[in-house]
Amino acid sequence: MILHIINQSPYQSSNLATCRKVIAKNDSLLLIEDGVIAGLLNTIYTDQMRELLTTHKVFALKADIEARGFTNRIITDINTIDYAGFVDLVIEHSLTQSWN
Amino acid sequence: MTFTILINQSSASAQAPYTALNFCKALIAKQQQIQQVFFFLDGVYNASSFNILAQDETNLTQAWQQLAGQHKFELCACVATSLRRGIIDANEAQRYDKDHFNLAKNFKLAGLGQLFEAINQSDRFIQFG
Amino acid sequence: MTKKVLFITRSAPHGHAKPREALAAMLAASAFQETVSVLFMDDGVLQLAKHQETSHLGMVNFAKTFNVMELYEIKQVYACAESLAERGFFTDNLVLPVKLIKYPKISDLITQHDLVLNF
Repeated sequence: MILHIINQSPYQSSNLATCRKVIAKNDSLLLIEDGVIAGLLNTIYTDQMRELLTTHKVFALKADIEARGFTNRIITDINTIDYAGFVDLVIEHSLTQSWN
Repeated sequence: MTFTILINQSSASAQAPYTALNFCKALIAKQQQIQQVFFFLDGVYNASSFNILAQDETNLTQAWQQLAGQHKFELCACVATSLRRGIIDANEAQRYDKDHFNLAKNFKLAGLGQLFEAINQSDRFIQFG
Repeated sequence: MTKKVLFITRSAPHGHAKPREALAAMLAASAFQETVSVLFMDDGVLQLAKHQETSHLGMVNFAKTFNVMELYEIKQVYACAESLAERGFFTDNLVLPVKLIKYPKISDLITQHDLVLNF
């Protein structure tokens, strides 16, 4: 069970594209920092993210969503978590893969 | 659980070290153990005591010093990447005949081997940046 | 037992310090860990290109040092097959013998290790 972490915008880097090719059953995805841009509604990435959500759990760091003014603009099926929730995810998964 | 944290970016140019600090504070709040925070690549700029910030900004170097002092974990800056970026301690200043040194207190210059020793003693590893 | 470490390197050479300093980290890891594997993927596969000539840059041609990996007992060296193909490269254009791995198998490779370092 891998916790995939993305911290960059999908408009800036191939990290989301690469992660989607690699992510396996039971793995989860966490969006932090500029990675939360991938969770926005009504973008060219929204359909990809919705498709990923049919098979995987996706989380996003609340502090990063709020900092960017994205509250209410994030796909509702994405679970928003605080730093304590981030720690829980790292503990629950056997390893983390930071697509930096 | 025991954690080793790797930080690869400078707080002057990226959010990653801030995320790492918030993550570490959450670890401590949850009674988890931090084995070591290792600074590599541009992350070593976090170990410079010469960083000067505006009053309303968080000085991450000081924040790390405080957290590591209170909770007794190691702050290691990779010696090779630090030297290349002008982060040196008193010993290196003497060795390379420099007038000043800038490694912040509570930080130490360390070989990469110390990162792997910490990793071997940790349950989890996570990198920021 | 030491932790099994996988390095994933995804940056092209020379434009950023990451790949060069990652190589130092890989070699250091090999002295402390029983299992060290390396995966070149995305632009990272370009680090393996033959005929790199950096003398006009004034920068180190670190690709020349990749062949020490075997000496350091780093025997599991992988390159992502699709990343190579997408960039017009084949294994005979590379400075090192690599095992080819496809995207869907990379998750398995990751979980065969205890942790991943990304550069």
